[in-house]
Amino acid sequence: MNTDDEMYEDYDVDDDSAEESGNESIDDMEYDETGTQEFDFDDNGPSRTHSKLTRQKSFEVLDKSDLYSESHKLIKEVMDVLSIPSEACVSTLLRHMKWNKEKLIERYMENSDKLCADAGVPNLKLDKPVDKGIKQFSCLICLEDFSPSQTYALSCDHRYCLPCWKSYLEIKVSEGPECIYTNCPAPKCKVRVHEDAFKAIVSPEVFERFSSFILKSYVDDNPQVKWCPAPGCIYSIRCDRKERKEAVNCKCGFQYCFNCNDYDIGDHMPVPCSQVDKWLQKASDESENVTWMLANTKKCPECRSPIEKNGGCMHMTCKKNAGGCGFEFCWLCRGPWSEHGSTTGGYYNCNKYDKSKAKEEDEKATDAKTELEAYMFYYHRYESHRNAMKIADEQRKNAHLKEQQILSKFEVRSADTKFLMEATEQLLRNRRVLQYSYVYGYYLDKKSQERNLFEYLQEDLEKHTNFLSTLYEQSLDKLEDYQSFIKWKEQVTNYTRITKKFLDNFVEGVSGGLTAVH
Amino acid sequence: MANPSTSNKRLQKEITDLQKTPPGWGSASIVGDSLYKWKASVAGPEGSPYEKGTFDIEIDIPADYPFKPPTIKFATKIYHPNIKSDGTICAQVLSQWSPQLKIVDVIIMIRSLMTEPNPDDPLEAEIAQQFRTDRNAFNKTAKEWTKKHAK
Ligand SMILES: [Zn+2]
Ligand SMILES: [Zn+2]
Ligand SMILES: [Zn+2]
Ligand SMILES: [Zn+2]
Ligand SMILES: [Zn+2]
Ligand SMILES: [Zn+2]
Repeated sequence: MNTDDEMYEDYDVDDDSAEESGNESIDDMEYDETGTQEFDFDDNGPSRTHSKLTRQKSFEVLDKSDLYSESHKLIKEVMDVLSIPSEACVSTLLRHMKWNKEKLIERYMENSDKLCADAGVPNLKLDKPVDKGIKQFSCLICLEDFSPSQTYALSCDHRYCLPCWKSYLEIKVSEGPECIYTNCPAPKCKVRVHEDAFKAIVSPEVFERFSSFILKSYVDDNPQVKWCPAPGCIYSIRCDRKERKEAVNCKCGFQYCFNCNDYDIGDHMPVPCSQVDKWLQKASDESENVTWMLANTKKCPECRSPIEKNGGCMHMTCKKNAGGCGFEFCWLCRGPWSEHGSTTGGYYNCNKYDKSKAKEEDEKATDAKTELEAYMFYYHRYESHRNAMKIADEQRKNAHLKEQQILSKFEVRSADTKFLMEATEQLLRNRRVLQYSYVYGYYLDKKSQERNLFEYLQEDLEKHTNFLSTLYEQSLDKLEDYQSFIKWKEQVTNYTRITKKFLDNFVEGVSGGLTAVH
Repeated sequence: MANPSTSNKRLQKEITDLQKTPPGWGSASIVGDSLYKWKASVAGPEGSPYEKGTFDIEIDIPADYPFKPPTIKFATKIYHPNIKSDGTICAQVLSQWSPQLKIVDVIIMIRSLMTEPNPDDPLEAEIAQQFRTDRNAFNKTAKEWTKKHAK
């Protein structure tokens, strides 16, 4: 599958818009087909002539059966090293040692009796057969009599009837993941109920659940494997490289930082994890001040009517039918939108904190208010992109809706609406990077040389993303006929490509340390 | 899950046993006609500030009994670091639950908690603090409460 290339064949990049963007190197860039590839930041600086968007596979998405075979491989290894024939024993020992094979072997060599007793498999014995002489047995839980064949005891010889064992274990499993550390029912007995006992006593469905809790502990106790944080996702990811900077891609489609492992944070390129921590801490420290500031500034810059932001686009209109004045402006800087459009021959810089104004204020006082205002500048932009990300699912749904409308209105093939989803995904990718670019910008030395290049790349990315967003949110009512639809489609398709180039430029620039001469 | 007849049969047996050999610490019986709601009248342990008091305790028994522990609540006001003012008691007491334990065992556990409070795991921090630092004052208040409420 190579859908991007198909698009390139169908529609050439609109030269005018590419030039307007002020970047001649666009056509020299190479592309990766997937658009979600990993970037290798560590080893090579960026290069303008060769694409450095090298693929690198240092993580692995694991499903349930992968986890099962991995954990069993580990059990087998320990069985071999320590010459313990029982899998159930070793599994219990490994769980007790948090699946740390080396530590287990070390402890076992030191004092195997103590380790086995602590782990709840004393002397590596699993259960106690019933004494031959006993004809009848009274269960201490249900207080009823049973024949010895209907009873079971672990190695501690605390014997109960099988129905009581079944109820006991099934209730433990119903209580959740801790069931894998269930002990014998006798008061204060520390002997652990092993897998074989569970398997022999509980129903197959319950044993299935028990086994999945064992796999869960295998992941939870393993620093190299973590569950994908996307809600409802069943996969986990193994990543052997510590402090991996690039995002990992789960099979569920979610792309995120493995270290942070947080659904809300997601992929925070180009910002390092430590800076994300710092930023989130600051955001929570400042949240009261920020709430106040935001509540008092969400008004039309012209007529002061309250304004509401819909969709991901930064192009705002003070709605006349809602009692407003009709003023069109930029959500970020509150400047007139007319100064943002390509038609007016240039974009207004709305990604830079106005230094002259800041300087003026700095001279007046170096108080917290100035700092807060500077912070607010970055926070506001961060938050705007973040909110656009938050409604990603809604945007996807809307895009599908729009696809349906297009299909019925223009009687086109479903392949002709694919560009909408491509644009949606590209916009979301750009917004994610833009969101964190403001964190990066906030911590970037205010007077550094790198700052110029950074803001230049950020501005490029932001204005083209906004342009695509406006184009993309165009109402279908304005497209009168098939011809105008095709024209619009070409524009969106081309701009999707262009913004991808700017995203790649930005990522390469930042990962290259912002030293390359643009 | 647990066979409902297990809890039923066992509770029936526990009641029969209680009637056959009444315990030294007081009495226990079901409330109304549900086997799963008990009430116990418990004598304050000798040598404790609760001595000579009689404490009413409500016992709620879950359907999964004896695989899950009953919940206990003092109906009589009591001055004790591990018993909240609303009568609920620290779950720690029953965290070592074993399905082999019976309702009488629970009451015995509670009586030993009355004799030996556990100030390191308190529900009432102020009482626990007083228990640790001013035992005389603690005993005095506990005795007064016993006299006043645990008739
Ligand atoms: Zn039984
Ligand atoms: Zn035992
Ligand atoms: Zn996932
Ligand atoms: Zn991170
Ligand atoms: Zn207005
Ligand atoms: Zn702006």
